[in-house]
Amino acid sequence: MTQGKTFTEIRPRFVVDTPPFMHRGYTVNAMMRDMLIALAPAAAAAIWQYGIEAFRVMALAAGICVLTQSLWEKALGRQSRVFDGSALVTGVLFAFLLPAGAPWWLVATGSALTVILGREVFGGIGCNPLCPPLVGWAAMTVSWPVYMDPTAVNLSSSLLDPLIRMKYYGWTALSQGSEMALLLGGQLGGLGSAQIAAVLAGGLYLLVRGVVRWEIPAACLAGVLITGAVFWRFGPAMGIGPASAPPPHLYLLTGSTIFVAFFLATEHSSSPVAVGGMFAYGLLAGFLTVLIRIFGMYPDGAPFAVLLTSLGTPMFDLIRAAPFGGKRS
Amino acid sequence: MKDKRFTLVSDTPCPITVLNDIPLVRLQFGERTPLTSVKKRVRVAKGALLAEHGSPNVGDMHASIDGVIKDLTASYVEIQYEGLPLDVAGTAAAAAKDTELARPVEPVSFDGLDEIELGKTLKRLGIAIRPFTRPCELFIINCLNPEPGMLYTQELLAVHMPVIEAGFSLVRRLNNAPEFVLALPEGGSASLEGAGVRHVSPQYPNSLARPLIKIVTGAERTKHVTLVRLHNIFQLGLVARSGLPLTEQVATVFGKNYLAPLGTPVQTFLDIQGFKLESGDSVILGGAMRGVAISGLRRGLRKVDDAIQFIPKGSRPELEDNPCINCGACVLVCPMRLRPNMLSRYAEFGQYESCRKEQLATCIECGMCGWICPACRPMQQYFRMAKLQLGMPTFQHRLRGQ
Ligand code: SF4
Ligand code: SF4
Repeated sequence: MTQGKTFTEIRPRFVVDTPPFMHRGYTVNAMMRDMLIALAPAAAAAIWQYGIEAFRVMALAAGICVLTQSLWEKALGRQSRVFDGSALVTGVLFAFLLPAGAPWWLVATGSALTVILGREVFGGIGCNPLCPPLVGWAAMTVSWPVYMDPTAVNLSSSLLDPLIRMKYYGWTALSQGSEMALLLGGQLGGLGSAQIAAVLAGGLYLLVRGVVRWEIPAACLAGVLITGAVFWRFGPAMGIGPASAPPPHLYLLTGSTIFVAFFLATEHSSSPVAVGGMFAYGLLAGFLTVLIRIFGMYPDGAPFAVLLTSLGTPMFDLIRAAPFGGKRS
Repeated sequence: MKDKRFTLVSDTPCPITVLNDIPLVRLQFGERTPLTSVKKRVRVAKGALLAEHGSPNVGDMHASIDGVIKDLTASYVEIQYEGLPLDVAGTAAAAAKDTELARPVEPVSFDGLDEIELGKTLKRLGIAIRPFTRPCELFIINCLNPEPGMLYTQELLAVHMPVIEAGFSLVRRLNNAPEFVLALPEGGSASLEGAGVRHVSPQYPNSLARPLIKIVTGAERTKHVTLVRLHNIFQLGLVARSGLPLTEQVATVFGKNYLAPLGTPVQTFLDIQGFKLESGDSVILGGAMRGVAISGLRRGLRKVDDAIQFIPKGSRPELEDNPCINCGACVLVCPMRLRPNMLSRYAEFGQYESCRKEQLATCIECGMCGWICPACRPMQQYFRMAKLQLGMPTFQHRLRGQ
């Protein structure tokens, strides 16, 4: 490439000073700042629970994500967008899915893949068809299942992974009245995603600030509860052992269901924007979560459920009201 | 998610200042053809015909002050006020030639004219008559301030009702719609004999044509409804009362209301208000949501400009061709239920035919999507670009000819 630009390159294709001359004032940067604020309670809870281990994973993941994106943009000669904060947020989101004891090379590889495979190969922010942290998570889970298993890497912990218990011993194996402990993060799982109460607080903050559209988490949780209730009530009649179909609220209190519903299913680029589509998308994700938990080989169904559902996003976007005047395209 | 700036009524009265003795006006020809007698250094009387338009629907153009033609280009004519002392006016006034353009203009009577003749007469007096003559079953007069930053409708209704009544009586002669409706902001109390009243929440974009028609009629396909701005009725009323060509214009300029000669330069308003502009500020002709930023302060007020606004540097994040993050905010806010995210992406990547399929033609360029877009994308710019490529009229395009 020569140094000089041709005339057509220099001439601005779009004059930037354009109406509207007012703006709501809420930008991507502000949005990412709100994301970090929403993630803070769970991050703090994780550090409180696992100590420096958890901090190490989060910092490494965030750092590698930012670094990977800048290097990628540099290599491709793209305009740098690293300062919009989304790479940082993506890194923390990815870290939330990892066990606190994850080895450094797993965190680094996963973070790099999250950014590259999850987003940059498709053209960067806004172009990814799937939720980037879930892409990284899926790649790691498939490649190194043992290192992604919270029970295997946190051998020193006295906590239990309720998902494993439920899967192999039935939900009745959970001690009675353990709901409160589960809610407060007393379980093994993703270092941030298992901090149920803290994640929920952050999720509500996202709703209040309008960062995510409420329809998706609401539909997602409704999907989980409805499907869960159906299996709980009718599971035995369908030949599913009563132990395999826990009461619906346990789906929310264990694993990453809440985290995925608020933080990952709502990932803008991979979720639908039309109101009808958002409900359908959320319901299906919730439905699949329960299905995978009961029948699948992965104990925590939510991440895969959302990955699968995202594939249908272009279809879900067709479920929408016709434009003004009633003519549909 | 509404913006407090979207409230289209003001709590405090904003009296209309009448501006006279403007030293210089610059009149934009638009698509009109200047008369051959319009030349430099020619003396013109206020109201003298300067340029005509071939279409019966576009009003002709007249001198808005007494003076001497100081400058003439293909796109505008500048008239300098004649009463200035010679040393200020310079040689132009001294050498002025008197032609028929300098003859004082006589008022016209509208009595006894049928609707065709009346329309022709009004066109010659500078009125764009198309909206008034359009056959319809419902004729709505939009009494909301059209966009944020415009503040004049309450004042017109409070103080200039006789002018509006005069305008409305001509409307009734031009248009035999069975029903006329005044769309007033909630709490507004004006009335016109022969017209019903509907109260509407004064929130942008309720003031724009299609949303407002929807609110009033409840229907979205409304070919049989005509909507005009109060501003146009007022212009018609000024002509109806005087029988003279349209030479003045009401506009909100930097937050104050004026009745000023057409062609009053932006700079003159700045001088009057003692406004100092810094580099990086913007001056907008029209509304904050749909107007155009101007590059020169000598631009004169046109008949279609009902506001001039000042946008301080840094009051809005810069709009750049950032990628759409698909947050969906624009989809939720679009009054036309379009998908601005998809529309703007198609336009951005030159896929104009896809824009057509996404019903770009339905976009009213209200600016809501650009207002909310967290990625700060120049949405309207994309849409205008695509519309031009597809041969669709844009909002600015429709104004340009006037
Ligand atoms: S400018 Fe944007 S919000 Fe307004 S009608 Fe067009 S697409 Fe919809
Ligand atoms: S508001 Fe902007 S970033 Fe969000 S979907 Fe619309 S165009 Fe994309």
